[in-house]
Amino acid sequence: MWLLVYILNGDRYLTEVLEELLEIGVTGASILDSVGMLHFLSQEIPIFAGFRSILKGTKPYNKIVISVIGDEQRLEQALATIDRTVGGIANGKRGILFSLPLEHLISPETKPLPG
Amino acid sequence: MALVRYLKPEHIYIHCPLETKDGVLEWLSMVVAESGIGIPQESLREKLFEREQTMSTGIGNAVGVPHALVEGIKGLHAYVVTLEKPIPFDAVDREPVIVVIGLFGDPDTPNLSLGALATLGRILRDERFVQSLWKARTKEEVHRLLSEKEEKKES
Repeated sequence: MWLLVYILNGDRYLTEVLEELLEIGVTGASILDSVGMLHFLSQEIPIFAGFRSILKGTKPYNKIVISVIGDEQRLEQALATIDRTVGGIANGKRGILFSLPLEHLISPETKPLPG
Repeated sequence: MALVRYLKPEHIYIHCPLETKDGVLEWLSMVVAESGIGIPQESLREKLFEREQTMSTGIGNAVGVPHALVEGIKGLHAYVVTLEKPIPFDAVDREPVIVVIGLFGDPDTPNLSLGALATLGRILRDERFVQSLWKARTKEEVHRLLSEKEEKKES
């Protein structure tokens, strides 16, 4: 069981990513709004205001897609699908993508804990 | 990060008789250019004034931190200037400035400058520490005060 996390700058590709995930059977995900650390610092803390120029051309907000994925094959497929959909994460400023192994999951679809 | 690693004792200037913010920026660009950083004064000056237009580097607590990322600079270079008397600096708290710390870095390694600015922001929040910098009588004393302040964080 894994947690898939994709942090996407702006929301370009978001719809496509979600549609592609649905197509491969990833039917549950949450989308969170967030802001990058450097964007926040450069807007809120005067000493970092000079870094606004470095951030020109980037969106001031991110979308974070998180999804719990049960089997490894689907996880690999999801990672590859996202990477392909956005045109290659390593090739440009398309965010970061990672997964984490999960130890515990309690959800309406899981069995109740013993005791 | 260890800011003092980027501060040479000869780049510390004590009780300088500068009277305006523009004068500080002008003078700083001159001494930095003359220190062998490999960048002409005009380029440094332009970048410093450009940065001030975004927002004043008078971060409050009587400190100014003019800084610039300039193509051609290798690594990070810090300069400390204590002023003979407080001067207006358009600071965020509207208070005059007594200590100026200039930072000049490589735009290709902005994380170095970010780390240095974060360190400065942290250590210069201590009002008594800023006063002690201002009252320091020698370059060596300023260097020692900054080193000790940083070490306190490290320990």
